[in-house]
Amino acid sequence: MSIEVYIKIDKHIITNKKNVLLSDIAGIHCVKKDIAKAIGKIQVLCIKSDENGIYAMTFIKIVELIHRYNQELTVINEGVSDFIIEYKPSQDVSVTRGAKPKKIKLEYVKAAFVAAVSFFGAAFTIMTFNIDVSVADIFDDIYKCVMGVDKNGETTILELAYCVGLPIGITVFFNHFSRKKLTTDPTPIHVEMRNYENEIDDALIEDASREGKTIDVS
Amino acid sequence: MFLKNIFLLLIGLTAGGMVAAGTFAFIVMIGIITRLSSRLHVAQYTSLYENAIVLGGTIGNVWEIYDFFLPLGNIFVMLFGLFSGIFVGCLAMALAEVLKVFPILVRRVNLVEGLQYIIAAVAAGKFAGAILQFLVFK
Repeated sequence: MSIEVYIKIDKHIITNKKNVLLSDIAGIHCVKKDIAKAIGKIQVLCIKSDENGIYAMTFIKIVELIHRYNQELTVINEGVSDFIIEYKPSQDVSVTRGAKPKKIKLEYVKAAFVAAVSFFGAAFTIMTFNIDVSVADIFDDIYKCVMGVDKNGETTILELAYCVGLPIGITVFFNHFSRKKLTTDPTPIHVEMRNYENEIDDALIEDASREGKTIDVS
Repeated sequence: MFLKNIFLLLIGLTAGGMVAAGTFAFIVMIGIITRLSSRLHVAQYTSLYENAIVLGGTIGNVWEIYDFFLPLGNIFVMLFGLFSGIFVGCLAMALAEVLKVFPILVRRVNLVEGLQYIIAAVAAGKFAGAILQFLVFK
């Protein structure tokens, strides 16, 4: 009876090693621990360039590498069939330790930029929305319906409540108030972020296979 | 009178909540912030961006409804113009993307290369349109 090896690989693996071993990118399980250990030491990829790079690979290639080590093993895939290995040398802290504080500062500048776009964008959107759908006119009508008299351009409890209700709505929608989460769910932007990353990974894998650059069985 | 005011209060509160849900769901789903932060590699600060949206939405709304005087000077006006301009630019492109304008166009005319020039042309066209509208047509 052959021995079964269970392997789980994530869709997108970021590494700072040039010699990528199977244990760096995959979760490996085998009844016999020594086999799992030996399989983990199989070299999957050897990156030659020093630049950031993206390498698409198929799972069949991994099966081939494992069978080259031992043909008796049955490989069971518990992950994806195509995946990406991203090489990022800048993550190597020991090399770029001197340059690190500068990089973090730049990161804050970028984060502040995105926050500024979010802030002014949100302000702009709600203003255009209010004008677009004539919120002021609707409030005039509602006021007249309820109170029986014209509002005459005064700001009433209606506008005040609208201004209070709006931030409540956004806070509930985003599911947190600053750091304090209302429930344990991830926030909508967080979910969208993951969706976007998944789409990017799919596109990268598709691109690689169309251009024939995928590292596949030969 | 009191009951009527309570009624108005309820209408205002719920209207605000619903409008917020709709409008800000739109901002998130259109994917401007995810895209910007992912491209600039600062995707881990999502709660910061959400705070910025909450603050921006609230302040913008109060400002628009009450129409009060904010003596912040030319620099604030410039910042507001610049960042809301960036936002609207992203928004327009994101909308085009959601509606699959470019993939369809590219397939229809069998475009193989030069997509970057089309994007540049769109940006230039937007710039020219904005300049015309604000400086010439006024």
